[in-house]
Amino acid sequence: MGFLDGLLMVFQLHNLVLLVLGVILGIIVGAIPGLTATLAISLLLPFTFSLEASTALIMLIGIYVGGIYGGSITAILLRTPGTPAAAATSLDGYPLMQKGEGGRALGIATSASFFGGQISCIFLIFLSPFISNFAIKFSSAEYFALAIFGLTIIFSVSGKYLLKGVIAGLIGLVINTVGFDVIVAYPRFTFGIRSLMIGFPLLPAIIGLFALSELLRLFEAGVSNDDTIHDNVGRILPRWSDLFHLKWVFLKSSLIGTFIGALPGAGANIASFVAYSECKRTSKTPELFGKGIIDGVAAPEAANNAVTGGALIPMLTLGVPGDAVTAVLLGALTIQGLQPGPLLFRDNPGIINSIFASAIVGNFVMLFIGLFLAKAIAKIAIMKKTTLIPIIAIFSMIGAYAAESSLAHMKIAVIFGIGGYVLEQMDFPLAPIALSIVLGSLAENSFRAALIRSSGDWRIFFHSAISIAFLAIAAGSVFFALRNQYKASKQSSGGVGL
Amino acid sequence: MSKKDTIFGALLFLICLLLLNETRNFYSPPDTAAGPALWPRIILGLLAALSLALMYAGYKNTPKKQQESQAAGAAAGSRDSLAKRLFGLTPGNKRVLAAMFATMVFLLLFQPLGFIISITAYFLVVTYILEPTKKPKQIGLRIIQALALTAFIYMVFGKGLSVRLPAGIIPVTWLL
Repeated sequence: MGFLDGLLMVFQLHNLVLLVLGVILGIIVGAIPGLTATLAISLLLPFTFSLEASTALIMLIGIYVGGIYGGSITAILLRTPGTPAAAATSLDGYPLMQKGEGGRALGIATSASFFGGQISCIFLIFLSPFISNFAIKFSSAEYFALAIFGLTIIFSVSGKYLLKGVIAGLIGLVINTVGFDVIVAYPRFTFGIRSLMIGFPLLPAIIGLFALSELLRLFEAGVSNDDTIHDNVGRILPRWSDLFHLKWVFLKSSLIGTFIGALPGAGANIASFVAYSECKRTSKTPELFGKGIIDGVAAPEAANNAVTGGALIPMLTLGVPGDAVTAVLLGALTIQGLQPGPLLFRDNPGIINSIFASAIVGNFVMLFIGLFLAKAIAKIAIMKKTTLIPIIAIFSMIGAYAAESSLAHMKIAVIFGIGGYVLEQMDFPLAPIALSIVLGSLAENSFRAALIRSSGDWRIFFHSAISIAFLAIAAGSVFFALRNQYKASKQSSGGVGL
Repeated sequence: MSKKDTIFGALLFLICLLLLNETRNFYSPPDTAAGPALWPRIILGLLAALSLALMYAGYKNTPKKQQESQAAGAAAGSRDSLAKRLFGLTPGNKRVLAAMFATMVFLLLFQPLGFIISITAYFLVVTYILEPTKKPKQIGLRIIQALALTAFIYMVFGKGLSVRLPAGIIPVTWLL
């Protein structure tokens, strides 16, 4: 009954219009090379402020679904993946385009994305209540262990720059301590600046980190307008014979994507390549991969869109984001005054059901738009960068300003943007900063609450099996990350891995 | 790059020390097992330790990396490397610095000048940074684009989302 309520909510006219708008905007931003789904959500977040929480989340889920899919369009038509998650799609998508079968590749990519998205939604809908029912019994010590487990995701999203990733994560945690301390209301690290009393607001920080820093990178790259969409795209609507041929590829890749999506730290980028490799490995014609085979388009696309539902499982049930996109989505929930995690299922079942329903309906919208408007979207995506970059820059800054009509927020966004750009230039990943800003409060508040409850006895963190399990998994992932880093640095040059 | 890491590590270490010192001033209620300073001290302690590790790693990797970059610079001989040798900046770096400067000026003038003038001017400046032009036709087109964007921002944020956009030197009544 609950899910039907969610569906009814999504089908209210204003919600449906915003969902469709969200999917379209997500696809457009996702399709623009260099702009990621994270940027799409960060950029469009300010538009959801004045909306009701459920309506805002319906739109954001639409942006998420569309943003992940959008990258495939330019990956196929231009060999320029709109998002890193679509990089694997271009391996066979563009050769198909060169053969004059771009439309066929687009049709397969769209169908695969739809299938992957829906399979992962089914897992999301059926698994989430069980996990949240289990997590609702957590005490502060267990929440702290959960937050530490969540923070160890930093080790897996830092890539080859492990030390820098961890430093970035700690910088995020320090940023999070600025402002009033929640337990005794003492202003920390404000240095007499009144606007810092409430700490660094999440939205300008996210816009700065993911939108403005990205724009500065685009400024550095400069403009080149040699991209053109060829007219020999052909029929996009997929043939039944192709879909029937790919049924197992769809299913297997969707399951891979859902599973990888649910794992903290492993996002759509990894899922698409794992699914592509697995599809090639089990194919009867592996030699055709890379030369233009529809299986090579279907596998990564089913997997990267299956990540959407999978990644929402830990985010909604435990309040732990798996990657930068879900960290931003988690921030969006917080901005709407909602506390992600098991309490969300207990206190706001309507919101949860509308999220589930919007993911399902959003995939249908994506299917429709992908099949009928993909070529038009690709033309928008190759819009002149000279015009596009300033538009995004202005939208980012006005978006940061908009929430409270505050110039201070705009300044914070610019400071985070410049800081993020400088850090990225020095090979510091930005995702750990966002993860820490989002998870920092949970970690600190539960840590201190547990210690106060135990009168300072640190053994409280090892009293329950759940707490021990989370801490053990966290320690294990740190150990393996360090071991891999050590091996990699030994193999490369014997230098110290950063 | 590695030299930069050493410098950054040292800077970060100093900041950590300053902030750790600041935590000594934090009020801590009596009989509280976990005061407001505890968590920042743990985080800053870890960050200080890792800053030292970064300094060490940067120092250890510097000689080899520097040799590589010098060799690459000599081999390339491109306009970028010439610009880099003469001014230490690539054209991309210059564009970024110019964009940062334009953004700072935009922040300063957004309220006094108002959103119409500041957004229009910022758009024109930024498009010029990206693609300098002196062609009157292109400049005219950009002015039209800037004004259209400003109108769109006003409709979406000012009217649609009820954001108080500063009118600045243009009387508010003009916008009503």
